[in-house]
Amino acid sequence: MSTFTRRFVSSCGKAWPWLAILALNVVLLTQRDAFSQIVTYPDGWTLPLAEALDGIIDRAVILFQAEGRAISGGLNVAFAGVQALLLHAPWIASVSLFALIAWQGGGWRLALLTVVLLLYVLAAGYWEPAMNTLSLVLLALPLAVLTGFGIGYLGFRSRRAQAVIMPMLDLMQTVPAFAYLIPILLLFGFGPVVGLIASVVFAIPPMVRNTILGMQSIPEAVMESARMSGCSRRQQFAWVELPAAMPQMLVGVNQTTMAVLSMVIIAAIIGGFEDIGWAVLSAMRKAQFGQSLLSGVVIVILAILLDRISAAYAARQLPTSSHSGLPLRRFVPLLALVMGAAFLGGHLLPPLDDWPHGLTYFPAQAINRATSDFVVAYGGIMAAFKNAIQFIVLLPVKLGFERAIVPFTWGIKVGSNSGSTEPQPPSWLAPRHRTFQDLFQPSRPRRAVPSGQLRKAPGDTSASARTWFCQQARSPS
Amino acid sequence: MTVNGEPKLSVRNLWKIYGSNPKSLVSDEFQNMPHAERLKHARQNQHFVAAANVNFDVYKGQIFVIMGLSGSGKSTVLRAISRLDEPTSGQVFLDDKDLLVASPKELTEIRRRKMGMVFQSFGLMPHLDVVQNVAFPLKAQGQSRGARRARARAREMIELVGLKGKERSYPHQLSGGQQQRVGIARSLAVEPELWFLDEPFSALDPLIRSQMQDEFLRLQKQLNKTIIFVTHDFLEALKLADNICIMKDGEIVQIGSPADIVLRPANDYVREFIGDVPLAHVLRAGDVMSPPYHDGQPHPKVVHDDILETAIKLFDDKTETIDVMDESGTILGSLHPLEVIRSLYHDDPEQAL
Repeated sequence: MSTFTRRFVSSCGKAWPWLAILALNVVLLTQRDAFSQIVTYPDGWTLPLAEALDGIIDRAVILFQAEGRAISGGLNVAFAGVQALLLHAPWIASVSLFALIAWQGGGWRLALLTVVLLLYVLAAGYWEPAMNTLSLVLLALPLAVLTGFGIGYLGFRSRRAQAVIMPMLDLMQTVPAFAYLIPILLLFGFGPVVGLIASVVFAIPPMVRNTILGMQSIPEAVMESARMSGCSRRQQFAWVELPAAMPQMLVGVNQTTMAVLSMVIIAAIIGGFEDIGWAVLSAMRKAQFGQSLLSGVVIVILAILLDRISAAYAARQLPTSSHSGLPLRRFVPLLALVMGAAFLGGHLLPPLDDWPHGLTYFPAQAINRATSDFVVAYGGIMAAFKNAIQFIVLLPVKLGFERAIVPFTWGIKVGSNSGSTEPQPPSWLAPRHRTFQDLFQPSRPRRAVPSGQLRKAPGDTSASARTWFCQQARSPS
Repeated sequence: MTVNGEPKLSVRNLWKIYGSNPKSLVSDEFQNMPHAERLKHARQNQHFVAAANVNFDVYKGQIFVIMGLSGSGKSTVLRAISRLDEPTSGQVFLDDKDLLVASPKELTEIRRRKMGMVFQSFGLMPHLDVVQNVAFPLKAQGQSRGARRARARAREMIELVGLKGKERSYPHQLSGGQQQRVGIARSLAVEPELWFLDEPFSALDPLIRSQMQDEFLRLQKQLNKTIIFVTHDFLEALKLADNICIMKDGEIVQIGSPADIVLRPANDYVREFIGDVPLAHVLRAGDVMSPPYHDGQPHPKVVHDDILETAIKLFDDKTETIDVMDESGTILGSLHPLEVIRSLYHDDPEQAL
């Protein structure tokens, strides 16, 4: 036996699973006309998972709705409080509050940025929706951070808990938010609180991950030196683990903030009220380009502010940071003083309380006009460009695929088209689509579902939930 | 170092075995096996013997060095004594109190009052500056109320290790040597009776290492602590130790003074270490002297603690005898060129003497 044959035989030994798969494929190919199930997955084999889940959720909604409503009631009260502080306070007070917080975290440059951006929001007339969104964020943030920290610390202390937590986090971050918005809606009812809860759920994972990461990256020797210094378990937590992991955990707070903001905005789709996400959504529905652009800019401003400020606080925790801000015992009185002055100023001078209308600059109409002017002026050129691409590039390529490249190019000669008398390949080798044209233009959809005949499984358990949903939607909340 | 009185720390039959059920392994039969068989038996049962039947005494004011290559069990022994890792069985007496049966509360108290430890990778708190790091064990003692006293004590320790002026620096701003000085200052802050050093200088550059060793000896002269010092560096062990314990595969191979080890190695394993030791730097005049030699003439004098190199430099054409005296000037013995040469010829030092 030659070396080659020997090698071939021995590699066949290793390759037998692949050979088996190949053989199975050949068998399936030859049998595909006899059993259609080989090619198309039969409808009857679909597991009734959706129905089962619907049933579970219905059950859960009935069981926990009272508790859910109680929670959302409590959150509504808290939300009203924060909203009152940010929105109904004089604007000068809210702006100074954020400016001071920014200054304490990142110095006067950040404070200046904050003031400029907030003044833009005021001037553009988006103050109310922006403050509503901020109230939601400020309320969701501590909830997400504290829950995330608790779960993360549990994961750090117990390997077994971590094994459960990690896949849960992946699930929370990958399942589309819309999928759990509906059950949350059923459990907690309509209103801004739904968005709040959805954003807490969505924003927990980064906090958990950063907590675990921060705790795990504390060097072993640091923990041991704490033990050898005679630290009790609680002292070790408060004096070593917490402060040593703090920089990493503040990175988590930063990421959580951004996650909360994004979800608060998306949640407008289900729990829409006077927030900035709602402003974008409604402008978009009315095809008002100018309005949706302007409210989009406000979202960007909020994102920049929240990101910069929380990142500044995270960076301040690093021992390398140069800016440390005031000590708390001096910052709090300063804050109280400035806020007091702002409230007084707002009380004495009405323009400091409500932004004067005369100072509002709302260029939405101008943008809309500019957009339509642009379309009118350059519509012809753009249409010409579009047509040129269509006729010079896209169509020739399509035609090329359809006509120029005959099956012969692929080494397969198909009898019926060429009218040849040569022997035909066995039927199972013949392509299912006779020509390549069939491949690109299937004569009819593979599975046509006549409209108005949507499949309804027998015993549809989701009916009750759906009925409830419709009732809720009809009655004003 | 002269040994006197009761040992400060006694380690008896200390075992540390890793595995799912280490206690089941330590039977009388197992303990009486030859060591190679013990290792094999443990391996067959998916266990690993990290420290086997360790016994030694450390006296007050003594530097006891545990020396071994990596995996020899030297750190295991230290961690078992300090109970960072719970030993499988054995006893560790600190002043007649068995540390291994101390309750968690008692252990915390002992660590707060009586122990100090220096780690190879320093183990400084990254979020605390130098003063706060050094004062940390005082804080754990509950001295937060007397914060000023704790700070004063911390500053005193910082000055002792030569870091004055760095009080407000954070660990990441310090070099390795400086960080370890902080670690040393911290471990001394509570005036521990027992001072553990786990390869404290191994992470440092050779030059800094030798500096730190000198400083460590200076500190010890000043403080007179009872010390267990772990190292893999044989020369470091010889330089620092009053007594050396050499370990291999979890077992003690030899315990003795540096001169004992160098002049009378227990087996080939120890002899291999001695191969490249500059004996003139390790042996001391007192180790190789013979009884006093009186020929009525004055001889150059060395102290019994001086290394042989110092004595060798004093020999010349006319000097054939050097007297060895103690610190008070009493003549203890004499050195002759032939004995000195033979003691340095270390192929078979036993026979040379």
